[in-house]
Amino acid sequence: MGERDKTTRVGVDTGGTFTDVIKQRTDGSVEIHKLLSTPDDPSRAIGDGVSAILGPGEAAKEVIHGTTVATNALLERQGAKLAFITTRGFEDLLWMRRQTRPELYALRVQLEPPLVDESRCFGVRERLGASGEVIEALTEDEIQRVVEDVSRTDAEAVVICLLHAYKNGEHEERLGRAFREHKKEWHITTSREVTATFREYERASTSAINGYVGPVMARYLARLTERLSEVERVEILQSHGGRVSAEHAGLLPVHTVLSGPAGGVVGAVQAAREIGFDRIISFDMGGTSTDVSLAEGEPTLTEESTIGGLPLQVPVIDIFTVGAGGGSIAYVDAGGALKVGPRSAGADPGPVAYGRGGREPTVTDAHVALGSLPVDRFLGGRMTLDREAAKNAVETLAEELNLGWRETARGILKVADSAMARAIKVISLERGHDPRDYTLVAFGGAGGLHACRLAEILDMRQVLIPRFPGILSAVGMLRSEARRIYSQTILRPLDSCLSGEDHRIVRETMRGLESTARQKMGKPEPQGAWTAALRYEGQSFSIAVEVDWTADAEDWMDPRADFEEEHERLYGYIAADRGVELVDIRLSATREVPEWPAGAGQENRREEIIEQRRIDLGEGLEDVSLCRREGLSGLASAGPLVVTEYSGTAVIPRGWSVTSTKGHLLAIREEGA
Amino acid sequence: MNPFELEVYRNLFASIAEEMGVVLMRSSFSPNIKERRDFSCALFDGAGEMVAQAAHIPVHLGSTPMSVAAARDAVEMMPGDQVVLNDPFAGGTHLPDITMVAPVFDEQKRLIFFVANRAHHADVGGITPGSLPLSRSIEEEGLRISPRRWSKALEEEIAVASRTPQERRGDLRAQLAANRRGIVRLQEELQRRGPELLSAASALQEHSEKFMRRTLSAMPQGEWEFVDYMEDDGFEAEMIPIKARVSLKGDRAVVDFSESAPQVEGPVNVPRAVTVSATLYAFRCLADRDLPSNGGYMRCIEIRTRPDTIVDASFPAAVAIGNVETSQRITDVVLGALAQALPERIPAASCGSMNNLTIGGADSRHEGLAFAYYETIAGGSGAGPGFDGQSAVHTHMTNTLNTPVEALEHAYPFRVEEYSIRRGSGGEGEFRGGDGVVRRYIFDSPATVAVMTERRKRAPYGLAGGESAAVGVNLLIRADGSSEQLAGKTVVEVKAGDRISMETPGGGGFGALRFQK
Repeated sequence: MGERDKTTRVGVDTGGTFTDVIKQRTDGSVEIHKLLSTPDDPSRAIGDGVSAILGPGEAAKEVIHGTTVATNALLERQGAKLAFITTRGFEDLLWMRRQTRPELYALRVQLEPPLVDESRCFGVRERLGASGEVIEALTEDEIQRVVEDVSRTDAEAVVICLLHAYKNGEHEERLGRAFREHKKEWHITTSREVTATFREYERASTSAINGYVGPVMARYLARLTERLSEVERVEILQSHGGRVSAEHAGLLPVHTVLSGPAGGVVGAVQAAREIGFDRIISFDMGGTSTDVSLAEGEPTLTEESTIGGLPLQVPVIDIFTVGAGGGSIAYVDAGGALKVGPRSAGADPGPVAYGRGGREPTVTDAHVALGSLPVDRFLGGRMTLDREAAKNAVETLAEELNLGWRETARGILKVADSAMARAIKVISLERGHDPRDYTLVAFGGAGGLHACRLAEILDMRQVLIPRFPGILSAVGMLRSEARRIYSQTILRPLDSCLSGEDHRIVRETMRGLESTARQKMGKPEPQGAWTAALRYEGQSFSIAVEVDWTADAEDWMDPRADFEEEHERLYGYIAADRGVELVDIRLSATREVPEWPAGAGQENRREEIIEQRRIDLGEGLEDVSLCRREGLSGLASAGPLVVTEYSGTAVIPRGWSVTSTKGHLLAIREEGA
Repeated sequence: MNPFELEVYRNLFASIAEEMGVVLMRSSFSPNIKERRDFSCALFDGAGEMVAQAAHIPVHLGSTPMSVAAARDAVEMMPGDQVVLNDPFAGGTHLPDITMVAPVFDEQKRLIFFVANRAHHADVGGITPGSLPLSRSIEEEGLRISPRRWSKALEEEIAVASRTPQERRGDLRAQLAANRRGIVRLQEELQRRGPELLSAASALQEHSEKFMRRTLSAMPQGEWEFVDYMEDDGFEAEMIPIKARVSLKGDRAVVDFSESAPQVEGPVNVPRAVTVSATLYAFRCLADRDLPSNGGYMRCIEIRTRPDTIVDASFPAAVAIGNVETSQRITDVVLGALAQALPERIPAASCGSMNNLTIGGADSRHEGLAFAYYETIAGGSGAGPGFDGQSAVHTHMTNTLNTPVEALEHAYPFRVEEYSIRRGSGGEGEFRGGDGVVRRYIFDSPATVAVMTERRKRAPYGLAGGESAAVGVNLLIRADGSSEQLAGKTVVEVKAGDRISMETPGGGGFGALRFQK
């Protein structure tokens, strides 16, 4: 290769312990690399990892990166010193919250403190009404006064959130401009830019997060782009699963706080799509917790999430997290029931079987004791596990319960499974989806160990374990689409928006959002898709329905029927006598990434069983075949099987069979099993 | 049942109760339910003992089992039936709380479970919009429904009685849908798991009982008493004592309220169900968080009340405010007695009032359409051994959300001018009580405002030498600038340009200040 081949694409996921790097060439060939993270400056490991994975003379066209810099700055409270500007009378907005406490039955009430210091909160004389009308005008003198007040503090970033700014952004804009002009170094956030949706506390909290992580993120991105100066384009994965330029991510870093877990869901959706599945439930089981999410073709988004106890009102992939993972500790409660988690042995000391000082039995120890996690094949055999120690730890617990150790180990796994099944019910049944219509896509270090059992509890029939299950987030980043989401609260009767007096206003709003998208995303033109959030007048929660509306067309389809069908499915009734209200409209602007061929899997080869072992997969000791993933073929192999590979282990119980297709493992439950 | 199946079934039942809650919250129409989440959902076994409850509102904790019992006694339920009630003297708490109970049958048509949900409706009639009036008898508080089978006619009866009939119809439908979802899920599980589902329910209750017995056994033994007062009933009665004598003996607790005051004229009486809820709440807080919320642990706590008292009122006592205010005082006295037994665990008194405000009138923006709005305002939480209290948070018997100012001003003809922390209102001490809240409203058109509050004269107590918190203040500021302090419980007419300012109490301090200022 004489000339530099600038077609390579690289995905990078920074985790707490490892940085995962994956490279793909135009021919679809893929390479992976794992190196230790450098938490003091994560860009170092990224720079090193990207250099290491690129061959001589090879340069990357683009690096797509999921970053935890904003997340960590937030969770570790290492962000910027904020000034918070709001309507006079509401200076304490971030302390008022929603006036609730997180734990109902705790004598000590504990709340997360806001990200702002009380001494840097300022009220301004101005007031908008609920329709965006000006009740009290914002004067230039008032603007100058507050700018001066802030300049007397040590603030590094300014967050502006005024009442009803979601309807009318003018006051916020004027303030923002004045702050920008006064001091260029200040990172400025206006709430309407972050989210043009109502509910002042949630919008203020989201804006404060943006300002708090802003300066940290800006410094980090500067270092990163310097280290990757050879790369044509550096992009960042956002919490909603679309990617943006590093520059944009620096302006609105609040969109990156859930970037890591989003990569995994995007990877799961892509893997499923490769073999023709649309409806999936992703199941990412790690050391301390498990993330589950439901997708129908695309990941499901929500604007009602929280991070570190603070509300976050921007679109993120709807991921539900439960505190049960491989490191979760098993114990007996005061009433004599066996519990698992949320306390975790974490990575350090880790499970007893790691031999690094862990004493209490964990989920991983139960697997090791029973044999489902073979001690000699962990991380491709690079680390040996101590089965005797794991068994002894389980035995101690067994004595407390007056049961055998084997029964206790199986019990630990059952309890963990039931906690995870409950999480899946939250994202499926509670939201009107029947898990039986979905394929379970399992990844993360421990996902494959539990997937089939979990599927049995939920009566699901198919489990997909994607290629590279341990680094699926990086895979997802590699192939994510460029996407931004813009929304605007409307809160007007639907009929009036379709053909009445509000029609023109909605069209103008749409035109505005489209032009923002075009302007911010540049060429080539992004594809726009609109959804309308609808509810019956008087309700509080809306249902998003896809619409074919455009800013230029006069006639719009009436989405009422679609809305009502969904309402019936979710809540079991229709209120035909009620008006429907348009809550907000949302534009998802996407620029597609050209499809590259998927890497060829090794198909239709005879499977290589490396050995037979006596293992307990939950129903007593039985003969189980142990094989490597690379050894599996396109022909079905019947369980019981344990499939090992570098980044994960999968258990295929009796009653299931497994095939390898396009590099992914597909396990199917036999009829009646 | 073995120790891990217990946990598997606990997850299963809890997720059904929670799913019912999601259906109710997301599909309902009044801000009370959808925004403030003033509702609860629970499952019961065929005998009416609670199997699981979603973590919603503590004041519903011990009272929903009584609703199920009342529904069973009154109506012979058939598949598909739903029984509706709100009568405080037959399974209810106060009239705005409407409960729906539905039976779950197996294939042999045996009644094996009940599902129930309770939601606070913004208006069920009565002499004041919002149905939390300054009443002298239950007859003035709105429509009273003794347990009756659901029908279209009943829906109409409720709608017609209410100032906001459309909202009532919508909320009632959401309540029906929530119960139906619970029934479907229980039947699916029954089909999959067979009769084991029933034995699991009773095993879970036994587990919870054992759990609480162990918790009680580990506590000091003895007898302690504490008395605190309701300031007034809105009429003649003042400083109305509520007295709890708590005895801890072996693995049982007895809480005796029989020396509390006779029932009073004003609406601060409570039916026994509310006293039971408040007492169970206090004990629930003492147990580890793992304790499953079901009827099992309720078996080891005996609650004694005397009929015709403020804590066990009889027909036709007025009870509108008791559920929200007296319930807080009952918690204060139970915890006050327990603090003597467990000084290293129990915090000082919290705000002690839900600071209820109801606003009703005709909305000039919508052709004079009637509206009824209800909200509660947070206060400070009490400081405790080793920790300060929190400011601006709901405590003890409630955990309802505030209504966002942007949502409120969109829906109603009044605005909020200030919403802030009331600095200095928490009690001083080695550990400081949390501060209360200032919430000031300005009205665009005439309205009827009912303010129902406590701790305006008698402050939330401090403990271990900590000072008590500041009492709350209710102010009416007329458009001309004149202002007057309102009574703790009162109904006023306001005009355009008038303001109401609610300043809520903080929480008590804990421990003597080490250095004098």
